[in-house]
Amino acid sequence: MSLQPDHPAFTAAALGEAPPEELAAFEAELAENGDWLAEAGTLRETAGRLTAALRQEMAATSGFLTSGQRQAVFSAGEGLQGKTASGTPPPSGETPVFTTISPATSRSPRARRPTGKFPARFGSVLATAGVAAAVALGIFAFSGPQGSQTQAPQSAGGENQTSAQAPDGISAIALDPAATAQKSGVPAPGLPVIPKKDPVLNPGSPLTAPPGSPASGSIATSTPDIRIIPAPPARTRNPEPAAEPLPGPRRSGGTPGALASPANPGGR
Amino acid sequence: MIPPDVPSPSAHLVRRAVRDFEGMLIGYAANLTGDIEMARDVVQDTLIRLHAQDPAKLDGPGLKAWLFTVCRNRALDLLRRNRRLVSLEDSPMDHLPDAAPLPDARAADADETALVLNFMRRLAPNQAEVLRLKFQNDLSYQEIADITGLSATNVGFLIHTGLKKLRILLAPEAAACA
Repeated sequence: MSLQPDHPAFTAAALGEAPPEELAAFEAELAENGDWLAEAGTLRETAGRLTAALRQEMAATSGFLTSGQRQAVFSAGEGLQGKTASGTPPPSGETPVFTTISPATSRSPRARRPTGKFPARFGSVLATAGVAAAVALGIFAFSGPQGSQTQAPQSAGGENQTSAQAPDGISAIALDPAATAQKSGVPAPGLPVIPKKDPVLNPGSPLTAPPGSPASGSIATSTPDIRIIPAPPARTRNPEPAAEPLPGPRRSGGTPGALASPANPGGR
Repeated sequence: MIPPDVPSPSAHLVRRAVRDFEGMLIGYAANLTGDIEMARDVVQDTLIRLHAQDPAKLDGPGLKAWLFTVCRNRALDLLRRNRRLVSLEDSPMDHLPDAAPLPDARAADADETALVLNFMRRLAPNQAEVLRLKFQNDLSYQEIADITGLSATNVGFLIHTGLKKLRILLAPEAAACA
């Protein structure tokens, strides 16, 4: 061959760019010529390092079209199939000329931001409703002791809780008639009467406050104590309301935990 | 991502172009423009233009050269229109966010890549471009000639001289000084 190592044709052949018959001759010469072999090896090594670096750069920089751009590419064919910019089918082999396509078409329109007016209005309505509900609850709470909430518990007279029970079996908030009775001065039915000024049995009562202290005037309030009470264990419901408070739980050999009632005297 | 049903040969051609050359084209355009977003726009425009081509003519090895030709022309057109000057000292790779800490092997590869790319910037723009088309995008001398408008002989000369310069720069003693 007439190739010289310092010639573009040698580089082309070393990179495999020559026609097949020339490549075969080139490889045969490489096997016989050590200088050529070393030169070709150095060229291929440099090309390999360059390829690796450029491929790594491409992997880091190329990326992909955005989903909107890709959608635009695929949907553009629906309007451009077989048409040039003038709207006529292109002659065979002729490249159509596009005059209206610009990169700006790939820019997706900026999403409109919510104005925020409706949420603000909605929030004010909610706040008003919340205040109204709080006022109604307060009225209900203050008027409760004089109403039906002052009725004695009907199922278990010895317990200081009403029978108000949530549908899921959890007593949510129950009025404590004993505490209410202490504050209002009216003993709850079925409850032992505790002397108002007994400092031992009733140490925290505001009634025990010395006269003249700020707490001494709080007797005028009859606000019931509201406690969160855990759900009581399952009990036997009395189908008929008892006329009188029942005595405390009585366990007479029946089912453990069962309460006595007229319908279930033994608590079975 | 790609619609499953492609009704026409033209749409099939576009689908194939997106599948095989999307990343390659974006990388090439990013190197030309220095802006990855502009590169995406260029590639999108290129692929849209493909819809109007004759699928029978391009459904073969000619597709790749056609895509790179249109992509290159479109990128240069945009650069002229936007009057943007792209310096070869400013690679889009410089603007990428730092990746997570690399293992030692990958760090060594990254060092090698940075070294080679740094030397690539010392080449003339036309030398760097033909080397990219050859070794990054695996195009033949003739395809590069078709894309760039140069002759195949000129492409061979640019690749020969470019590789020769890189070989000197990448020599161990020269690389140690770099």
